[in-house]
Amino acid sequence: MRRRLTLNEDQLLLLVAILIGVYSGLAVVAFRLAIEWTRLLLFGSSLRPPALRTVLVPGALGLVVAALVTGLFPAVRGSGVNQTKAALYIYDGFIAFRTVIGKFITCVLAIGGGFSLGPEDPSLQIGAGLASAFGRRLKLSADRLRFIAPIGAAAGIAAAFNSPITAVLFVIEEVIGRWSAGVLGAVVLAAVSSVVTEQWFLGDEPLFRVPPYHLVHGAELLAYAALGVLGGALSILFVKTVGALRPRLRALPPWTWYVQPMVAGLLVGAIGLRFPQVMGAGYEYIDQAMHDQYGWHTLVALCLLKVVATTASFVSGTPGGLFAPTLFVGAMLGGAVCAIERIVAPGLTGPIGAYALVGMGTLFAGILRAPMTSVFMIVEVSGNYSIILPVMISNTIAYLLSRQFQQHALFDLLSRQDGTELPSMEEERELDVRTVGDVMRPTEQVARDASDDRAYLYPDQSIDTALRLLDGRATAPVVHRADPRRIVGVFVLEDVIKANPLEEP
Amino acid sequence: MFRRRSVLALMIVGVVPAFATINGLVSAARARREAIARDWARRGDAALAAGRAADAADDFRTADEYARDRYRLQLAIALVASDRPAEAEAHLQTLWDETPGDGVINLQLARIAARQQRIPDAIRYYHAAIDGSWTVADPVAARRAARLELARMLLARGDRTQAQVELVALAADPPPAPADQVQLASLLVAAGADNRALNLLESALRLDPANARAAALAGSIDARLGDYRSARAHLDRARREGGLDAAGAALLDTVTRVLDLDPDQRGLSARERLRRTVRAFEIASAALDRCPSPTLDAMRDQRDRLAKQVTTRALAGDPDAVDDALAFVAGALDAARSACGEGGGDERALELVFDRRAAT
Repeated sequence: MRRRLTLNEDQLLLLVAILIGVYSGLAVVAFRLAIEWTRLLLFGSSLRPPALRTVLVPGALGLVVAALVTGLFPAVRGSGVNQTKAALYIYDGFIAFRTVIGKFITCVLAIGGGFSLGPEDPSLQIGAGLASAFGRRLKLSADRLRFIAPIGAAAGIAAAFNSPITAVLFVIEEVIGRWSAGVLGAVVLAAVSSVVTEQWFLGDEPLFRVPPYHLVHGAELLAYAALGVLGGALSILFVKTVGALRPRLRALPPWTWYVQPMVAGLLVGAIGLRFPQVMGAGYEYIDQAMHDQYGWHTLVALCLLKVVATTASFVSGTPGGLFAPTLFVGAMLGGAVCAIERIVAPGLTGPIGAYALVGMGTLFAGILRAPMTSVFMIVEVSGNYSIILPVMISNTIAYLLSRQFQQHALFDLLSRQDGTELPSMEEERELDVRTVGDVMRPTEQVARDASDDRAYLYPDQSIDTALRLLDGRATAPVVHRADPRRIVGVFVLEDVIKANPLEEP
Repeated sequence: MFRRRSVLALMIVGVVPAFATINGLVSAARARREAIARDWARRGDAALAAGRAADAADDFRTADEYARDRYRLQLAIALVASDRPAEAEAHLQTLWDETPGDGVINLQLARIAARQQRIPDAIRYYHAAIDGSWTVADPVAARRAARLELARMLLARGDRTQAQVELVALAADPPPAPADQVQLASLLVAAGADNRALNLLESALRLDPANARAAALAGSIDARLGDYRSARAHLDRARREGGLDAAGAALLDTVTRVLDLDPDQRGLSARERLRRTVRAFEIASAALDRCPSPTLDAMRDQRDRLAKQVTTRALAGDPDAVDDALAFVAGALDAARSACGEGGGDERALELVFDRRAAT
């Protein structure tokens, strides 16, 4: 008998995830090539382009990008992370394909034209948009379709960073917010297939060429702690500045929306006259900082000027990502700390590449507040596990400082400013989950009757789980984990309702 | 369901043209990057050749940007040349991490370490360069040059023992060109290995008998070792080939005088030996006369007492008087030099004779 090959919904999702990964990988490769070609076309091949071009090109492109964003692609404004979260939580996985096209074109023009923005977050949105389009064409169930955008996002960012672990962690930590077994497999498959596709064309070289790392002396960890403090302070400064300027600029009359990117472009170009390193994503300059190409004063200048250039680029409404500028600022800050430490304590200083690398993670932790991703990203891009100790120290300090002095993480802040109530993954991570033990009525410990076949609960189970297991009954015995025959309390549905009254609509 | 299958099939089939398209774009981009990188590298080579090391570094950096890592070594070399060792070392360390056995990389790291006075590191890198792999046309010559550079560094630091170890290793398998052999010999001399240097110079002279530099250097070593006949032969040869400088000519003059004045020279007749003793006494006497210092009055009195005994006839009958006369000559020359400084050519020649006499 001839048997037809049929796929159930879960199997189909895994197959589609692989396809999403492949297409996202291809899209990201094309995206990178387009940015490079645009840069070569506009600025020439020299790392130090002619002065007139340096100033005028970003200004002129600012005008073009503003026209495109305002007139044709209004949804492409910003980095793309919140748009992907919105697709998951608000729009049931829907991202218009027009947004993908718009994001591609406007980001190529902006980043290739010298704006201080990066290609990673747009890659994430391009991947998510492609996935959404595929999901709709395949008429996936609503539940599957909702999660298709994060799957594409993982594929997009994995190809952009050439780092599948970072991508998976970021999407889980910052977009989905939980380890859902149903989605995790698809996210991993998409990320891996995307990276394989990207490496097929661009090779398997890591994003950064990291010099060998070793800890010179235990006391060097103090310098990494100082880097954490400085990184935390700089993160707060950056997020607060963006948070303060962005709504003010958006509140200006709509005609200024055409001019704002142009002004930002001219400002970036003016900075680029003396420091062309701040223009574009700047990965090549991160590499140079890692290889000791700058003195401490240049590193400090680049660090601060990149903050200025990125703030101007981003708050003006120019589409583009914040990952690359964050890494750039972190690398320069780390390099500066190392260069200054060399003067203060020359015998205790390790290689500058290690500081630059740790600095990148520090700013990532401080600005984006994705602590797990920030640690594993550095380990993955460096291919060096031994660097994890300074990374953890510095990242934790920056993360805690940022939390202390800046209420919301950057992406949460942006979504609030846009009036979109997206769930804050940071807040959800820290949500206090109440358990059966918190609400049960304790009893004298008695043995459960052997003939009692009612469902029972454990004290450590969440109330959500308890309500599911209760299955319409008003009470259930709560038993000891180690000895299910020993009853330690009674779970009463009425107590839960009293403790959590429904709010008036 | 049918529509879903069709869409899925289309997505799967669509991968092929999508791959082909992106492949074409990537190939075009790669070719363009290659061309740009080559262009900048050419500029870098030209700048480096013109001595504009800083410009060369910028050019190679741009080239390296377009051809990832391909020009990193050239960039590092340009950075070393433009006196930016810290930047160069960071690049070289990355390259070293990938190919720790590469001769060129180790040599560059050795130079940086030597410049920064990190001598143990420098020696380690030099040895790694000497034992490393070289992709040049003549790896043996490259290794030899690296060892020679190491020896020079050690000599510059005054570490003659370690330098001699390196130079002896080189001398065991000497370079084929006589000029290189002479260069090695001069370093052996600086390291205090005169005999090995002399052997090497003899080898150079066998290959190139007209090599004046080899002959002059061999002559100076011979003179230092007290082999004045050989010294005169070598220095004469150098003079004939037109390669004797003023110092060499002065040495030839001294050596000639030594050979003319030395009363202990082998093969002399008894009469000639006496004649030379008398001549030495006359030179010592003149040395005392040129120096009016009162500290020499006692010596002058002794000279006057001995004068009658120091004739060829008188000395012929009294062998002990020969020894007394020569002992007086040695003392008088020494005293005159102490009181009034170096004397003329004959005095210096006799001093060499008596120095050797004292040594034996």
